[in-house]
This record gives sequence, structure tokens and C-alpha cells, in this order.
Amino acid sequence: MANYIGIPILLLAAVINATIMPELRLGNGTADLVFLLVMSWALLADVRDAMLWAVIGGMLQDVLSIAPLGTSALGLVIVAFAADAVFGTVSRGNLIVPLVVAGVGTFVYQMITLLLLRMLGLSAVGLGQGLVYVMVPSTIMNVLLILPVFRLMGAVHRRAFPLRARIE
Amino acid sequence: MLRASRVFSFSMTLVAVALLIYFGSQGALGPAQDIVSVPLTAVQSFISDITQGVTGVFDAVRDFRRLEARNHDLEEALAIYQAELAELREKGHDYDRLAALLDYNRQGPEDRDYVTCDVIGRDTTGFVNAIQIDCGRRAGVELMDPVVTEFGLVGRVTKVSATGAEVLLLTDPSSRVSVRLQDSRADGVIVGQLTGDLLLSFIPVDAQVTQGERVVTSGLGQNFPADLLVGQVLSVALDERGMYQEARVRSLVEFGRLEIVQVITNFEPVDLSVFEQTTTP
Repeated sequence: MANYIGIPILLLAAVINATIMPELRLGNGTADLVFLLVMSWALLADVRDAMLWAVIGGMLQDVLSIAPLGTSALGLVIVAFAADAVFGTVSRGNLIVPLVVAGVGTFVYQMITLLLLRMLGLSAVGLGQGLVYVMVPSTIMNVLLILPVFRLMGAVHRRAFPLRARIE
Repeated sequence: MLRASRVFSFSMTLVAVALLIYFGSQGALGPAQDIVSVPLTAVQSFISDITQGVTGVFDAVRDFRRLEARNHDLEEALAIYQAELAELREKGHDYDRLAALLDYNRQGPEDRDYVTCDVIGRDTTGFVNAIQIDCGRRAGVELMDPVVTEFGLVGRVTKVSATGAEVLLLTDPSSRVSVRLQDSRADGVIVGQLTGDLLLSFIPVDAQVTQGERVVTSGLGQNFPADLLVGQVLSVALDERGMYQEARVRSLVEFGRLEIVQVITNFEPVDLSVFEQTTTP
């Protein structure tokens, strides 16, 4: 039941990505709220929950995009799994791991998205241009926003999955 | 054991997402997408209205100099167009008289049906220059409908649901529009750039292209109606191989600040497929 809290959060994040985030552009790149939420959950919760968030968030993002359903979800699932495989679950107060995941993860996620869009014939952007005008600015924006988002999701996770004391 | 179950979950999720992408790209998930997109478009419109209200206040303060320069550009363009308008009106009257004599029927701007739509969002991938509008099939918008503003061509509809649509902008690198230079009558193709510029390619080497020359759609290929304003030539040069000329084109449309657009809903391209069929002797 606690996992269903992700649906309204991701829905709002996808809409904010399409409406408010484009006003805060750096080049052609923006911060990706859905990506930040999914990565935060991957570091805080079980990886299967994070992959579910990745699929839902990715699909909501694709409904508001030119990309076919599942395009964003593919990159999010791969990066979420990789983040969990490398770092596992981290504490809510961790400052370094979220930054590394946001930085490297954004690049990998955007590369997967661009390659998929090129394969589907929906984008004619070259890798070099994509790197300079989209990936680098998006990485900067995501790294700047990951820590507040991670702390917020930490608070949500604490409420959704409270620690239970065991008396022996 | 736990690790193996995680890898299994990951693999199954990847397979499910790959199937989703395959069926989505074939258009099989259209009805399901429509059901989800109707409430999403409504929420998007609401948030977009608030966003535009807030950013409007900041833009007024921040963009004073930019608006001054743009005002100057528009006043210059207006002065040029006013002088030409009188001459064109006279030629228009002559054209109507001659066309009536020949019984020649051609669709003009006054024959077009427009639907006015608000821009409610931009594409989230970053690699695609596209906007979302709050008009869909219920408003008469269909796939491939041209989209314009009073300043010229904006793009065309590439995705449509019941209540919303996605418009691929002219500035997207995958956008190709057949155009004609209004004075030299040379044909070319406008290619979008990720930076937001427009590049006019494949202009014949012997064409006399001048700075400030207007660029309009040619109607070739039947992707867009003819004579829609695209922009003005900024500079001309030979391409890398010296086989064609290339021109940088400036559109008067501010693609990064679109708020209201119009969709042409009654453009019906001529069916050219019959000419592509091979004939057996």
C-alpha cells in the first residue's frame, strides 16, 4: 500500500517536468524531476519498488512527450537497477552517493534515451550535439537538485515505512 | 538467492518495457494513452496557466532590453511590409480577375480553417524541440496538421489525443520543410537546429539569394500548404562541398516563448501515392 504513494508524486513530477522545468533551462537541458525521484527511491527503498516507480514515472513522462510509451522507462529501469547494484540502500543523510548517481546516472539515462529516439527515427540529433546542448546541462541541473529531492524522499520513505522496534 | 531474484525482476521489467516500446511505436497503445492523457492534459493546462502568470512577471522585468530590440525589429519589418502591402493588394486584385477568367481555383489564406490553442508544455526528452497544446481530436486537430502564429510557421502536429496534441517545431533537427525564396524563386529545404536556428539547405549554386529575402513554404511534397511565411535570410554561404548554397534563416516566431498557436485543420494534401505505383506494360 505504501508504494502507491509513488503514483500521485510521479504524476505531479511528470507534469512539472513538462510545464515548469522548461522555464528553468540551461541550453536545451533541464532538471528531470521524475529521474531524481526514481533515483532517490532506488537508494532508499527496495530495488523492485524503484523499478516499479521507474516504469510508472517513465510512462507518465512519455504520455507527455513525442516518444513512444516505455522509452523513458527503459533508461530509468536500467539506471535504477545499476544504482542499487553498485551502492545498495544508503542512509537518508548520505551526501555523496546521491550526487554520484545523479551525475553518472543522468548521462547514462540521456544516452539511452537519445539512442532509442534515433533508432525509432524520432530524433536527428547527433551524439556530439546531444552531449553539449542537452546531456551536460541536464547533468548540472540534476546534480544541483538531487540533494533536496533525496532528503524529501527520505522523509516520505520514513513516513511510508516506519522502523519498528523489536522487543526481545 | 535474494540477488538472483533481483536480477530476475530486472530482466522481466526490461522485457516488459521493451514490449511496451515495440507496441507503442506501432501505435497499438493509442487508446490506452488517450485515456491517461485526458486527465494529464487537464492538470498540465492548470499548472501551465499558473506558470505563465508567474514567469510573465519576471520576464517583464528581466527582458526589457530584449523586448526593446524585438520591438525595433518588428517596427522595421512592419515598415517594409506596409509598403509592399499596397503593391500586393493591387496585384491581388489583378490575380483574382485573371483567375476568375480562367476559372482557376486555388486555396488561399482566407479558405483556411484555424483552431486557436494554448501552449501548455514542452517535450520532456530534451533532444526533441516540441510543444504540447490543449487542442486535440475533439477540437478538430488531426495528425500532420500545420501549426502557425501571426509571425509564421511553427511546425506540425505529430501526436494527437482527444484533448491535446504534440507539435514538432520547425527548429527540431528532424524537421524538414520544403520552402521557396520569394524574390529569387529558388527552392530549398529548411532544416531545424538544436540551438534553435534554421538552416536553409540545397539552394542551387546559381540562385541569387539576398540578405533579408523572405522564405515561404513552397507546398512541394504536400507536407505544408504553400505560401506560409517561414522567415528571412540572415546570411548565405556555400556548403562544405560547394555543391549547394546554405542560408541562415531567422524566423519572427519566438519558439522558446510560444503561448498561443493556431492549427490549420482543413489542409488536405494531394494524394501523390498513385504516381509511385509501378506500371506493367
